[in-house]
Amino acid sequence: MKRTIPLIITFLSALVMIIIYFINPAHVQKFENGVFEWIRIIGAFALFLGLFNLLISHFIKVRRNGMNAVYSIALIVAFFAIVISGIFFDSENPDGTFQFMFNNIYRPLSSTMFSLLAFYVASAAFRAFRAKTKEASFLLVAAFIVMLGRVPIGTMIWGKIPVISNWIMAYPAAAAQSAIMIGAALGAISVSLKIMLGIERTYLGGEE
Amino acid sequence: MAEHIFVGTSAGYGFVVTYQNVFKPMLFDKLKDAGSEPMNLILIIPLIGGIMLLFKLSRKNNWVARYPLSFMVGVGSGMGITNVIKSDVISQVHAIIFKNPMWISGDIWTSLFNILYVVAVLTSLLYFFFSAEHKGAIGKTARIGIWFLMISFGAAFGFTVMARISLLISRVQFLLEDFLGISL
Repeated sequence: MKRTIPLIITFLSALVMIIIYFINPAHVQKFENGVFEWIRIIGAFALFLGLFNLLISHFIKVRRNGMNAVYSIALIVAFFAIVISGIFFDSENPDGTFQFMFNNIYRPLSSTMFSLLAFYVASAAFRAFRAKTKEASFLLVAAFIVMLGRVPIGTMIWGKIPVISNWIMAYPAAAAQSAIMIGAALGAISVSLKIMLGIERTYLGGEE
Repeated sequence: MAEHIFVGTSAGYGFVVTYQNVFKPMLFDKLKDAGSEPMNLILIIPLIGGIMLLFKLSRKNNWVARYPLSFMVGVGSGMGITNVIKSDVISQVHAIIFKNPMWISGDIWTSLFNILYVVAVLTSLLYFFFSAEHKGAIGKTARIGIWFLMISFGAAFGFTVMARISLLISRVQFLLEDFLGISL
């Protein structure tokens, strides 16, 4: 019962969504929007699961009072400060605490975090850019031309480099991306069918 | 320290955005009797579904979370079948066939490039075809597909590198010019 009813719910809800796809949108628009709204509301509750795990793990670290407890306190304080300022105070106010935290803490930290990835990318490039095989050489040459095509030095070396870079992006790279998208779509369809028919049940968890 | 503050603010920001875009307009405002619009009591069902989802945290009663989860997974897979066929398969094939006509009279280079595009798509797709062993003609064609895939990965990698480097440059510029006041 604990597994059968969820499997029936999955089958019926998937079947309804497939059927309404073939009905005139004017007749089912309201129903479809209602379903999306329900999904967004239920899905939003899943955020609590993640937040609960994050906060509990850091509260435990603070309680153990280890060497790194101060970092966990910083995380908890930052979390509650932005939540309280965003929910209980006027978050749209450009001079408010929420906007201040967003502009002066969240935005610079997020762009710094992403810019730090440049070092990881450089390390990955060092490992990947070894022309050991013909395939690796293709990757190396394509990456090199695209990088040079995006900076002024590329044009200074040879004026055609940006043209070649754009051609790589427009033809071989775009074609392979199309093939990847079609392949991934076919995979997604087969997984969706397996879920709908109850062949794939891992989302229900292991226990009975 | 900065990493922990970033994680805390990111999680908090995500929560605030979810509250303002989902909980408040879709649930709390509609469950309130505002006078002009009556209460939408049917929204109690997804509210209960959301609360049931929180039972995932319980070791003993986590099976309760399966009901809303199965509804979400069912709707997702139903939409996945129809929408993915439409947007990712049919539209892609349509674009390959009709947007790039194979032969354009008087423009030999564009025609050759369009033929190359179709060859690249077909050979790359053949690489993902595992129902036949990659030997002989299939193996050789799939190998050409790998070349196109590697060019695509290389281009994507180069593009990502440049995006990250430009972000790094902007942060260094901020530190030197805005923070330390050193004019470059």
